Amino acid sequence: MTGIFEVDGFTWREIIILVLFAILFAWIASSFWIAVFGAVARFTRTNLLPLKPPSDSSAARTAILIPVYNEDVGRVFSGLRAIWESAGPDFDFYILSDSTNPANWVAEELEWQKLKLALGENARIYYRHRARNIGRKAGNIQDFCENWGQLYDYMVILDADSLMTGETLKTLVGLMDANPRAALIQAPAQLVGRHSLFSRIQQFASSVYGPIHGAGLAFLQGADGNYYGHNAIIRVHAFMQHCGLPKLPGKPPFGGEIMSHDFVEAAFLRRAGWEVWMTTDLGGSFEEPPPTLLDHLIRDRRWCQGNLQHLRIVFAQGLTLPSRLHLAMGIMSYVASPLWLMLLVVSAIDMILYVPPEAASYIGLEPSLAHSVSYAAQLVVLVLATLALLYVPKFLAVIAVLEDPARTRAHGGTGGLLKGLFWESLYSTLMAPIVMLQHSWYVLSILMGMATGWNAQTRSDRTLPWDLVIRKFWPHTLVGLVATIILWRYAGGGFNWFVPLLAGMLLSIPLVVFSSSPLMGLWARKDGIFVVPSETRGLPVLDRAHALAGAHQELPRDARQLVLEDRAVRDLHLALLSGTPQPDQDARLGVLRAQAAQRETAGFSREDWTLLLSDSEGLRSLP
Amino acid sequence: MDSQSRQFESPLESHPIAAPLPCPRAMQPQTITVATPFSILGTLLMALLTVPRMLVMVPVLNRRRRA
Repeated sequence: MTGIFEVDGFTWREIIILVLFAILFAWIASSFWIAVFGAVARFTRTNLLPLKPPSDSSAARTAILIPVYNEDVGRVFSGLRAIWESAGPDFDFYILSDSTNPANWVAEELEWQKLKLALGENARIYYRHRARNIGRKAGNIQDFCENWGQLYDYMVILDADSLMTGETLKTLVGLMDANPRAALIQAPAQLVGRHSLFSRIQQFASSVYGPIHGAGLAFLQGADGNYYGHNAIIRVHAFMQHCGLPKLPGKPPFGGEIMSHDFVEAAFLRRAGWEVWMTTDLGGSFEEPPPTLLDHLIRDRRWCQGNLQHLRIVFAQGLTLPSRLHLAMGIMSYVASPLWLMLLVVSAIDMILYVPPEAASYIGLEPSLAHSVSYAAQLVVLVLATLALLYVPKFLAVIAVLEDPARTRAHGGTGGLLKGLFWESLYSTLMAPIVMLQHSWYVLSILMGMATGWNAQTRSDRTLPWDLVIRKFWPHTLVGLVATIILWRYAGGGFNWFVPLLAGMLLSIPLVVFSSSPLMGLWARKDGIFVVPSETRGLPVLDRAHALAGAHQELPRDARQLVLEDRAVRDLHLALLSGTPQPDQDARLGVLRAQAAQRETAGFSREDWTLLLSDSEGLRSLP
Repeated sequence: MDSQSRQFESPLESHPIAAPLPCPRAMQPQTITVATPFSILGTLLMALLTVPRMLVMVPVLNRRRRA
């Protein structure tokens, strides 16, 4: 590229293009090489977890923690019960609730009681509700450690939609027993369990491409692994000694509480000399993907802010180089989008303003590229090299699957696998510019200290309504339309190079709606596309969780009202409130007590209900 | 420490145990010397100055080793 630009001297646009291209090319090259190392490791059957084998039996006490925050109560407890049934009574389970929605709070208590009565006293399943959400999820885990951490050797952190098999949990415990220098072993979660077209594509990619990428990471990082916040086993005393999170100086978004705590906790463990491993061959570790691109992007907003905050930490003293690389890769996974956008904009400007030299020669009557024909070969090589970096890892992953007949059958056979590869590649090509625009906006808004207004991520399969998608994605469509007009008018033959990007932006609204559809997902399944082993072979823990969730019955009335109207519900709530400090006695509480006594609660706000449900004295005195 | 959870004290036959008796121990926040823009620029500047010098010195070092 330098050779092409220097023919007629560098312009400022070409210098910018060169710098941006070099950064982005290095970024996609890193992903490419991780996949290549992973493929080599797979094909040569390299041992990716060079630890002592797990011990056969264990005397260790392990707690399984499930932090929840206003989740679907039925799904959470269905998953918990499925894991408990798979793992047996050897583990202690903790529901660590930070739910701020009073209805969720009470529903969790009732569901926990129901589960305890169903499973009996041998089931050590505990429930704790925290009145103040200090430190968010990291603070929730810290609260557990500070209260009960001393009782346990290990803890396994799960998300509300995580699943792990008993076999995997026991193997992880055995590995920790046998390897006393290991502080954390991450079992990457495979995406399963959803039905929308978007989530089926994510599940397919996770199942087919994930093992190669994971193997590459495990091969390269060794004991300098990373932590993804869930589906990992942690040595409690190492975590308590070294993972207390500081507050960063300054204000958010770059100061204050550390939002993406997982990468930092892994870095602290490595700084202290403990080993952090990732196991890629264990299996038995799962989570559900977001059901739609919209939910995926809403989640990305939080992750983007958390990762950008790591700019303050990546150069901190004492961290190991691999830890810095993990942090840098997390930052780059979002910063790459605005860099790519800048590259496209400057390239388009350069293309529009380009004046070909008079002595340039052509292929046929028209130049097929905006440069003289003598450099066409170099440009084609450059484009092919870029495409190779992007798509060769996918082919390597598919070859790795085809090498195993059982895995091939589990993905719908060779035909299904190849169809999935084609459609997934097409979908991700069209989605890439949409995600690029959104991430670029996130980075800009975070740097400017703005809120984006994208809230309320949901976890259920449903087709997104057109009006919602139009409201969220009209800017992407507008950018695509304006870019199409400008490039069509001024870019000449260079317009064709932008067609895949423009198509994604122009079609963003229908793409998001159709990919959110469970019906489209079902059609794909019937056509044998995006088939995954959890469907073809079955996954007992997932099937059991789904069966329990399907049989779950919602409460007959508003859970909050049940506390007032049902004595048994109130007694349970009061029992679980025991020891919680009484809220301050103020005029508002007095009014709420009086209205609650008359059952005049129609005008209560969420804060009113939270106050009332925290008032054990007032609840005890209710008629 | 923000713990507002304790084992409740109702009779066992009426409610299951919410959580074991706590065994409190505080986690101390770790120290971290965060980077400032000046320190980042300083680090990058030192790297820009140091790496070329190291590259220039490699042949000299190799000659010394062979000697």
